[in-house]
Amino acid sequence: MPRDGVFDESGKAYAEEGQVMLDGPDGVAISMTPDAADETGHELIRAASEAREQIGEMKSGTPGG
Amino acid sequence: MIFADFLRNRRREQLSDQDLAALEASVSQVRKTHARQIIAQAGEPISCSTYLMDGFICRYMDDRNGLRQLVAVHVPGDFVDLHGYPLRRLDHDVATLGACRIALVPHATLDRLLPERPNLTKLLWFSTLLDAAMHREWIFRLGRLDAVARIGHFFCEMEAKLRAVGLSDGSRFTLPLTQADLGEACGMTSVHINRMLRELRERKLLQMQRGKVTIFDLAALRRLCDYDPSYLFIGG
Repeated sequence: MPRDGVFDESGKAYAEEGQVMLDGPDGVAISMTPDAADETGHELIRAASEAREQIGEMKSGTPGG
Repeated sequence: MIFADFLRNRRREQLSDQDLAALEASVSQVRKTHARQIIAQAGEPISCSTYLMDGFICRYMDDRNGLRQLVAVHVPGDFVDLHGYPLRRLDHDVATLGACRIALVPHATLDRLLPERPNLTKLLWFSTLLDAAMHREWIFRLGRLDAVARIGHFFCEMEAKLRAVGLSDGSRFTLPLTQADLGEACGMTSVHINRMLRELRERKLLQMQRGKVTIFDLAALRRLCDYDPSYLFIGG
């Protein structure tokens, strides 16, 4: 369930006829080329790492960059 | 009768015989159209509104790359662009999906008719407010539902609207839309639509073959899609 509109459930990805489809969470329903899906995957992993650092900084009271 | 399905199973009983006769007399032309024919284009001045007697009509907007978003699908009994009467031009295009039969009502005739008929005016206003309610539901569908629920929700709406005018028995109806059309209605590629249709079929909820839709379990489909038809004001 979303908390303040932020989801803690992942979307599901499928491959069909050379397209990558991402379904959910909620209103997400998009299709991408394999290259765009690769790049999006890398971007998500990078942003997730950055968000975890921000959470750590918020817990310790250290100002974020 | 031209307006046989207008507000059928909605507030039809509020339409007096005199109002209905006046509405019938307001039609300047009844004509048949081909499939995929443009009825009205965004930005152009319009001087009459289109009532759909038979067939299916869509309203749509194209983005800068020519990719299309359907913003409404109309069924028999719908006044497709009555909002064009006060607006005088449309902010979207209107086109037939399959072959249609339409009736044209000149705005100049409405100018003369409506001041004398406040009840008819109110019912025509009600008709355009139904369109607004459907737009709200389409925003909900595209903003909150995942792929399988989006397409299921679209079929639930079509079923409810067609049943109101006697064109669905609650499980079977005709819908002359391609998978590309469904994609343009639901904001998905046709490949994505194809996969979601397969999922709905495998879940034993719905099947679509050559424009014929069969819903196997309407209650379960509505639950999956968070679908509540009350916004259509059918039956009251």
